[in-house]
Amino acid sequence: MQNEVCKWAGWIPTNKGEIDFNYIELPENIEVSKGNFEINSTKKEFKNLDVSYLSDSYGYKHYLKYSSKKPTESKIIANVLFEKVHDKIIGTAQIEYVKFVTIKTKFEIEKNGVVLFDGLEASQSISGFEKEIKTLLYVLVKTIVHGDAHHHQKIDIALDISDGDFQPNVVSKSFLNYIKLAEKNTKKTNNCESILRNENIVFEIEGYFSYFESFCKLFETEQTKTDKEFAKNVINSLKNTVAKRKNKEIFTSSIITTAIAFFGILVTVNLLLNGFWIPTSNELVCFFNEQNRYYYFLATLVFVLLLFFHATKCKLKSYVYYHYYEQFEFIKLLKNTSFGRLNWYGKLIKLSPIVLIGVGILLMFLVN
Amino acid sequence: MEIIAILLVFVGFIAMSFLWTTKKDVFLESEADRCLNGFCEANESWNSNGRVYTKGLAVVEQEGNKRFVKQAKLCDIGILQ
Repeated sequence: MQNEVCKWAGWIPTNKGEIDFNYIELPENIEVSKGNFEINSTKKEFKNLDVSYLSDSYGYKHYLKYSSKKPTESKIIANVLFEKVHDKIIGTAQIEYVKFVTIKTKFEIEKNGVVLFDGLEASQSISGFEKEIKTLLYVLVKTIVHGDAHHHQKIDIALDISDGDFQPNVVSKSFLNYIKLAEKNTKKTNNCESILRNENIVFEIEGYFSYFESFCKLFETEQTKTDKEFAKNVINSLKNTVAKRKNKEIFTSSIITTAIAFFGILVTVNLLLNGFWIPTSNELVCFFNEQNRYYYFLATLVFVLLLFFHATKCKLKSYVYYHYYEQFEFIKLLKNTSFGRLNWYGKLIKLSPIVLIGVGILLMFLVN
Repeated sequence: MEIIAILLVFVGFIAMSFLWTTKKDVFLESEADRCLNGFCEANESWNSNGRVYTKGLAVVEQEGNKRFVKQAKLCDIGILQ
């Protein structure tokens, strides 16, 4: 057993200004089985939690298991204990990479959200990975106390830890850095799949900023005040970028809608008027017998699908991005990997649209 | 039957827009390769290039040997183009 004498600290976001023991609970994506938890007014203990999501490649396990070299990734199990002692919460956190290493630490959470970790006990050498392990232990404790588990998004990745005592300026700087990164990346993304994302980022960053404001009230220094002012400027810049784009999009869509309405009305009114005025001598009406009317319907169906192809694609991508992010992420990586670099499972997925198109074309030939 | 055929082709092209691209993006290509073929490993030469990343730590077993893998993956804001 290796025992590292070390201390590190971080901040657990609270916009209420204080951490409440009663609010400590597992987020939805972490399940605990019966008999593996004990909860009362002064103690909350969770055992055998599957926290494999702490690995960035966990979402690709279905893909990776079909690789020729068959590499496998260890499951990550956690045990966490919280105990209320007067105004503080003390506890222990343990992460186990199954059949490899078990790492344990003690922590103390102050009322203002500061979490101080003390000591790092490992069943084998973790040399060279201490920083990552400290961050993971912080993320684990923060996730349960704060109550969200967006490991892949927003706050979890944004707040830095500091070695030794708690340093407000480190956290403040990471708040500002994240807001700047979000603004920078939003400015760079301007295609149809990111429309919904870019509009919602303003609200997300404002929510994020509310935590920053609470943080600054709790730990006011010259640096935190300055960082907050700069963060406001960056958010204003983000808002203006998104608003300017939205205006442009509204204008562009109004032109497209007008053009579609113009041609739609022109065609339908002409068909109607010609049909009603001289029904018997109207070539259009007389020409279409029942069979031809069906083909006319098919032709218009194809025309309308083509017309709305771009809009359907954009809305669908935005929807998948928002509601099925993990799948979106995986598909995005498949899209940007050359065919030859994929394993057979990836190739199968990548070929699926071509199969669909092929089956569709084959069906058309078969019925004709 | 023709309607089903047309809809299959339409859905096929929509799916194609999700999975195929005509524009080669060197940056995203290397990121995809790093994650799908290398456990998102962030080696010494890895750089964020001003994108938003998550940081993870995995233990991977390859050919009987287990080792820690430092990871970095484009997150929800960083992945969009």
